[in-house]
Amino acid sequence: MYGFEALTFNIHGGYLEAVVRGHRSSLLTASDYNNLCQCETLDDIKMHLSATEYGPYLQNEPSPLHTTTIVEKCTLKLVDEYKHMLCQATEPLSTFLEYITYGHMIDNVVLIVTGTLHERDVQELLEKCHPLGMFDSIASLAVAQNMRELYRLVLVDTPLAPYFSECITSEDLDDMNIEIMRNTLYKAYLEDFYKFCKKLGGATAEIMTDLLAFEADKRAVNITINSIGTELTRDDRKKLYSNFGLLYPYGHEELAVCEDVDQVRGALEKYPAYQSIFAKLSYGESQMLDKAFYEEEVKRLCLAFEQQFHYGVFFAYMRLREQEIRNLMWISECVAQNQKSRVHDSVVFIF
Amino acid sequence: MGGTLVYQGRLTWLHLGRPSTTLFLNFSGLSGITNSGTESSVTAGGPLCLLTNRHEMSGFSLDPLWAAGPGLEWTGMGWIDLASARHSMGLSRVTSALFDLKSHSAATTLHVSQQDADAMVEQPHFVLYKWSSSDSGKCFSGEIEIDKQEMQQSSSSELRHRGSSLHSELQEEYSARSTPSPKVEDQVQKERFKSLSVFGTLVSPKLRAAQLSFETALETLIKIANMRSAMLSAFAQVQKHIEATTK
Repeated sequence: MYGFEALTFNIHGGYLEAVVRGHRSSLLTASDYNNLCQCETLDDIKMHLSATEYGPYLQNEPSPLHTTTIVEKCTLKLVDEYKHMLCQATEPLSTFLEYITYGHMIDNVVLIVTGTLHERDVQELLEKCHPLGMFDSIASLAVAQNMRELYRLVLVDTPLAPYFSECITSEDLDDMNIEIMRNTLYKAYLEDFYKFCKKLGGATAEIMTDLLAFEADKRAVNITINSIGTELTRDDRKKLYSNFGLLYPYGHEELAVCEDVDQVRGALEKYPAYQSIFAKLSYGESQMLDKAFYEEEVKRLCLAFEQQFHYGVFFAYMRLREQEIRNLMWISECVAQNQKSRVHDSVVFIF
Repeated sequence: MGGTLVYQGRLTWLHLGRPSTTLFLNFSGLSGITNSGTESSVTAGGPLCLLTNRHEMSGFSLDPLWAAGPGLEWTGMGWIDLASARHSMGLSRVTSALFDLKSHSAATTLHVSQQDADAMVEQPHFVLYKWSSSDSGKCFSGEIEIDKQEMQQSSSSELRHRGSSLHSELQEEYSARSTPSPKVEDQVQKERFKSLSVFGTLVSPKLRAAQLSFETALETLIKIANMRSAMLSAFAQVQKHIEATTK
């Protein structure tokens, strides 16, 4: 049973909810994607996007275009919209909006640390960072030799500091430790976000806990499949799963011992919510699993807009826009590589 | 992936005097061949005649090269698989900014040796050593080569039809030729994972598929280079024979 959000939500959140619903209506439709999939060159894609809200961001880009340019400019649009919403938001919505970007912050930290380990130039790495995950002292990450220094020198003053309690060791940073650090940080972030949304209560808690639970389950499946055949032990694998979600705890027990995709399927088919995902795949196939999970995620995100007076619409919009940018990236790559027969392999229609 | 040396050659037209399905190779750099595209043909009593008219559609059968045709698509498949991996894992996880600039030995090396087809003609021969361990310097995967005998054997075999059956035949041939022991296979897998570790230790299966596609493309390129070398050597021999005969 929800609280009386309808009485008070619009006082502080009404304007921004209206803004985000306006942004939602500008998401690309199936007919836009059909036009884009028929493009022959990246300049054709630019021409089609010029009629959308991406137009002003791409119009000044010179030919020949690259796929990374298209993705970069589309991301810039999302960042501008996000920053506008953040600067207009009051508590607790402002904290909620900041939570949405912590995932990108974790990715940026790992990118800088990994690149530094591989003796790459910090400026080059900073250019590759996601703009939503930038923070002031990010460039200082390059000086850290181990996780303790990483935390002490840089991350203690960032929102990621509370997530480091399980990661702090004096071990030198190497590829395996960095991977474990990435997944441990993300696990801590998801659990913290989940607790925050539950504390908000009402429709926000109801909708966001469902969306975050799906995110946690999706990550558990991806970690399982990606770790098959690697040196990651079963115990280490289980430690990377979040402590919430539909699969927690019994599904995680089964996933931890899976050695191939069919065993993962067997573990998940017991859950009706995930039966439909695996029903689309044949046995032994894992290539289309990503698309199946993205389709289910998009369905749930679109449902968030069916209700008013909650913060879930902001999270849903950001995720839908990111999906749209992924779609544009894939279409651009297929067009650039002359592989248009593969274009529908990974495009997920939103409407 | 890892550091590799790849030989890229240029091909031009070559016709063997037996009717077969059409296959076009573009050779260049042969003596006596100009770029005009309408050169005269040189016939000889032997099985080889040179037809250098680019518009002549009758070709010859070089079954190994014909079989390698679809293999050339592996490069395209590798790039689209890489894009798929980037789509799945995220742009910040699959990026050239993560390549390791620390000095390390190449995971795969190409060795070029000179084989004397006979006393008159030298024939460069390419051998690919895959997945050399940087620790031990050992190579875990076998050589990839096609020598003249193999080429002759396959050119005398029956014609193969293009299509999905060819893909499976190529894969069977490849796996039959290069079936290593389980221990070696295990080491090769470890080396494969190690080379992908620049992108993280938990990578998507799509990235591994991209790695395999590029690996197959590299092997195909070496096969093509060896075939080209053999054909150029054969051409040089025929030319020398013709010159000797006309004198």
